[in-house]
Amino acid sequence: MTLACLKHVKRRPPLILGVVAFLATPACRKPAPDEVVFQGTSVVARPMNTAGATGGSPALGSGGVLNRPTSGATVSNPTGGTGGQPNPGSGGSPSSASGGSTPQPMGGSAGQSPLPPEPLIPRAVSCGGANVVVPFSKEALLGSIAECAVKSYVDFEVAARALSLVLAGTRTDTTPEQAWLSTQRAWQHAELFRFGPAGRSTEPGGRDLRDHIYGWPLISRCKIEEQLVSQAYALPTFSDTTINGRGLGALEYLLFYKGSDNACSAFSPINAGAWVALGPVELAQRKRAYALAAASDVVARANSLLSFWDPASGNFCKEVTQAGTGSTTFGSTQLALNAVSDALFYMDEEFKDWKLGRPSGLVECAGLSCPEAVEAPYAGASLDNLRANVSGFRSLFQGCGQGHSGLGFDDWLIAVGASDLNARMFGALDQLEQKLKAVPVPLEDLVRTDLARAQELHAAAKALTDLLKTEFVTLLNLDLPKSVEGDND
Amino acid sequence: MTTTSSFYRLLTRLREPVDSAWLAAFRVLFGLTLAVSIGRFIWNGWIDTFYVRPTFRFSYFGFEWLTPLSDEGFHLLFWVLGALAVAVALGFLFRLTALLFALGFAYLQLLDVGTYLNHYYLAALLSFLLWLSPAHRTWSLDRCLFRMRSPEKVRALWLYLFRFQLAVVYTFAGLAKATPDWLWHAQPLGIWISSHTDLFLVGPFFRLPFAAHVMSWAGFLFDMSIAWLLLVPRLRPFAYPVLLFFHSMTSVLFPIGMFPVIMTLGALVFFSPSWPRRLLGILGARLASDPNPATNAEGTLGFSRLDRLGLMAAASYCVLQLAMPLRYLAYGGNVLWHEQGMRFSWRVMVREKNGSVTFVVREPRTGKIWHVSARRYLNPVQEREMSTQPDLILQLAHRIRDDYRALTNSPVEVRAEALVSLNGRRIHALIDPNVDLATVQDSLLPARFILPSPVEAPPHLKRI
Repeated sequence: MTLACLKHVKRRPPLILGVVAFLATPACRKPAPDEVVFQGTSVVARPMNTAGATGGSPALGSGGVLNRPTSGATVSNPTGGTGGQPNPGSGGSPSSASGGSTPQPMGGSAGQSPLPPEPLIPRAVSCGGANVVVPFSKEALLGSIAECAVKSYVDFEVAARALSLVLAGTRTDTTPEQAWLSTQRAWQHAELFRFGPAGRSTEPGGRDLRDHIYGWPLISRCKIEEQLVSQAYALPTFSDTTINGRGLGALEYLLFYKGSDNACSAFSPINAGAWVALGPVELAQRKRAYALAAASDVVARANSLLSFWDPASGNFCKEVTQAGTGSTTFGSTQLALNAVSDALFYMDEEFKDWKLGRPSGLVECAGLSCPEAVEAPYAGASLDNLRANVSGFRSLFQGCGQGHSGLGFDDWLIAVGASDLNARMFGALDQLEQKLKAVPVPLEDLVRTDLARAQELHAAAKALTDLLKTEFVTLLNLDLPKSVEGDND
Repeated sequence: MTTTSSFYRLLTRLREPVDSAWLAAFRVLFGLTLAVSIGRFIWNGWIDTFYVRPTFRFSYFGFEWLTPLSDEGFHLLFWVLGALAVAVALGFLFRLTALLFALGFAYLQLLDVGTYLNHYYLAALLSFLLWLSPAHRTWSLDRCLFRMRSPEKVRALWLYLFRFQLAVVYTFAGLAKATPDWLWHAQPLGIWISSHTDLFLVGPFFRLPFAAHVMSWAGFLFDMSIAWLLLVPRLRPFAYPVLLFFHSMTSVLFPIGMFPVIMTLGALVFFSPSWPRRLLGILGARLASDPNPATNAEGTLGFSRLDRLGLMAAASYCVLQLAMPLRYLAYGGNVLWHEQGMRFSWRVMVREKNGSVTFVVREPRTGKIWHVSARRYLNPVQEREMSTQPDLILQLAHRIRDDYRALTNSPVEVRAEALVSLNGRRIHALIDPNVDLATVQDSLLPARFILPSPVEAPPHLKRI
């Protein structure tokens, strides 16, 4: 049972009984493809599309109890199981357990040697979009974009799973920090495909999954620190907590911030003694445990995202590729193209204004510059994120094949005879990419030492988004994002 | 002498009594149409989108004093307007309900320039005309409740006034299309139909290279001629089906809401005043006959001093209606670009404009610069409207000036980097980026902060 599914169950009380009955049956069913299973003290993501994952018996062990860092509280699988209920992937035995009173670091208990790194097999999800360039058709473009979206989500899911395994201690070929950087890079690329299930629930087919995976800019350090004290990450309700204390943003703080202070006000309950009482060792252990829970949640969301797209389950692929014919989400190809083109506008608000404009002092910044407003302050990965965003934009705009081959919006522009605009958009994109590539220092250092250069990055992004917001939407007759249906004349 | 006699002939013609069935039918159909229109706002959640949620509103010049209602007030107003529209249709307490509806509807239109639509403007005008007219004289609850015995006749003036209003809309909408963009380059129609190439039946036609030109010319000729064709009784049976087809197509192709319905039903005023009775007669309805036909028009429809004042008011109204769409000539340049004289001119669906506006605020004391996005103040619908209309850009610049002046405790300069694409052309600067908008006052005079329109032709695009 994925976290996303659990969320829906909670919203629909009448379904709970059915779900409970379903879960209570012997675990001889075929596990859901996005299932994440706890094994003993380690959390591992079930490899997809492997023989072991499809059997009726637990693929990854016999369903050991979960020794979570609790204070005697009963805890359960934070990836979807509820307290006291059988863990569907653990051989039918309850996943809940009486935790010890002494918190233990996640990632393998003492004396238990880590398992050898297992190959991470990507989930074989495909929308079947053929990357045929000639002759151009809007339907083919939608197929290509759907395929690119799924490809970016698959890449991310593999990276997230690796991170989870590293945190669990079952993979030792890299550090948690490096694994986070890889995961973050994959997600920053996938950020540009924020439509359908990844998009907001107010948009066609939206499931808010982007925000569950990466809630930035809604990341609250204080919230995370409060949860470190309360150990809310160990509760079964963790996946239902607000997004500002979960996801990749929380993971960044947990893995990279080494200070022992906290960002909460002096009036916060944790500053009444609980925070100081933790001590550095305990704090480090809790951070690691929290990180593991957060990573497991991210993996579950990533699997959920893929399942929503997977033709074998949610089949959002069909909603996009059969827009106007078999799709119930998009009544026409144009509506689907509007939805996917909205994703390009990530470059305007999030990329240009928030990620570049704020640190470089141009947007909502009182001082000369605001280095503290960079996206990834603890990991120093803000510039990497920007580069990955541009790469994602290029995949969506140009195509996601080898060397960005394949169908993209550029092919549409050429097909309608707007080669001039196409060339100017590529010019602006190349310029932005080169300027980002040429920056030798982290973004926070750049805005401190060479503000003019940081503001040049902002100007380069603006050159691209100006074209996007004007000629691009005009010539392709696309709606601007969040356009409300209304009358016109 | 000839002029004087012609004038009196005209007056005599205007005072002639005609069957009021046409006006009653118009009242019923218009009232129900507006009730549906109001209902769409309630049903689609547009009350919140357009009236409740916006934190910034663009004022009409001279109407800055209008204040918005509370959240509940807006919702209540729409429900009341819906009920009033139904009351108007029924002819219930007509003078009161029609006036209240017209005032309430006008209030909503005048509250925010950003919500301006030509057909809302038309609906507001028709609401006031309807209120002033004796539209409750026939087939109304008032006639039953108050046992009105007046003949079911109205002066021909009312018929001509409504016909004039509809003819003005069509004719000026046609004149607005008499531009190289529309007629020679078939833009923006070429852009618009490009997203409808998968439509049933007509989609393949839209892909043809000449389709946009054919449709542009057809639209132009339709708008220019339809009112006059409808005036000729022999051509009416052919013209009205054409009108029905035209408005059906526009309804399918463009998100223009109730406009096609209003025009389709409104155009019935061009028919003989007794058309509803004939129709009802065919249907065998009892309402078909006039129960109290006037025998002496002079006696029953006197021409009082008040009537003369009314005639003068009607004449003034007509002059105003002709002058408003032509006022753009006083500004020179391309009205589609600078937008001065654009509103209240029936320039319906004649431009595709998209803009990207960044406000650059500078504090002279420190040299500190901010880039302010309109998103901070506007919802996406408002932002889109603002980004191509200079007076709205100026209004938002003033708000930003006030906010940053308060923030910094010192004067600030506000400039706008406004890049706009008109009918698919390359982007050009709409606002002079060197002008400090913080010091520019809004007025009806030609705005010097607006840069000239681009001169190159719009693109010719393939439709796939």
